Amino acid sequence: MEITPSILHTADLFAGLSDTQLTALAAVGQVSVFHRGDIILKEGEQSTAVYVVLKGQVEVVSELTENTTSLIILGAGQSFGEMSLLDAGPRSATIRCLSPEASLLTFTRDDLLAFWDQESRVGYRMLFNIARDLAFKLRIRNLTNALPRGGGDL
Amino acid sequence: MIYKVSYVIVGGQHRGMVINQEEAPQVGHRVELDEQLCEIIEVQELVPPMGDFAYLHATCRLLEEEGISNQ
Repeated sequence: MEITPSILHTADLFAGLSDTQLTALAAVGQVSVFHRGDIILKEGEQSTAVYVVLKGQVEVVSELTENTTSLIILGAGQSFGEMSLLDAGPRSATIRCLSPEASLLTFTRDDLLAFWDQESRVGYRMLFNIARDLAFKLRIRNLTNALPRGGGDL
Repeated sequence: MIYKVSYVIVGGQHRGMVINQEEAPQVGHRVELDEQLCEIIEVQELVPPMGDFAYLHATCRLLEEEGISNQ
């Protein structure tokens, strides 16, 4: 799958970046293809890559309780793994491929931080976007908690 | 404009979905969530728009439970 600026423009993690910046950023990442049922990352594991869904759908699964719970589906344009990118802590949920096939753009923490050191304006913008996305997710949680039941979670 | 939409389904144990799309969700529109046909019953702005992105929250109800999924 060819990564073009037009594809990346639809992901809010990259909002505010120019085509030139997006092209340079795409060269830092790696495209990975997963198939239905593949575990992309595992709750509790120590890994720090961040992912952007380019195509397909993945599901966020919690294994905190005895019963595995599928929390929410993430489609094109969504990113995940930001928390471990920021704090290097263990993964807070398992991510599993839900669609027959999903293409993800993956950045390792080291590669991304090195790129941000070189391109500080890109780093500023992406960190702002990550913070905004976390705020978005928190607001969803607040809203869905107010629903009668079964409103989903994030 | 890119619409980052959080979809939730009321009244059951159904997963929601977050997706970026180029068309704004509207009340009355039908969407397929987690392989189930739903109708949007409410759309609200979750965060003010910024740049090319709008941030919306769409509440949906299942249509299949009402037996009208074949319409």
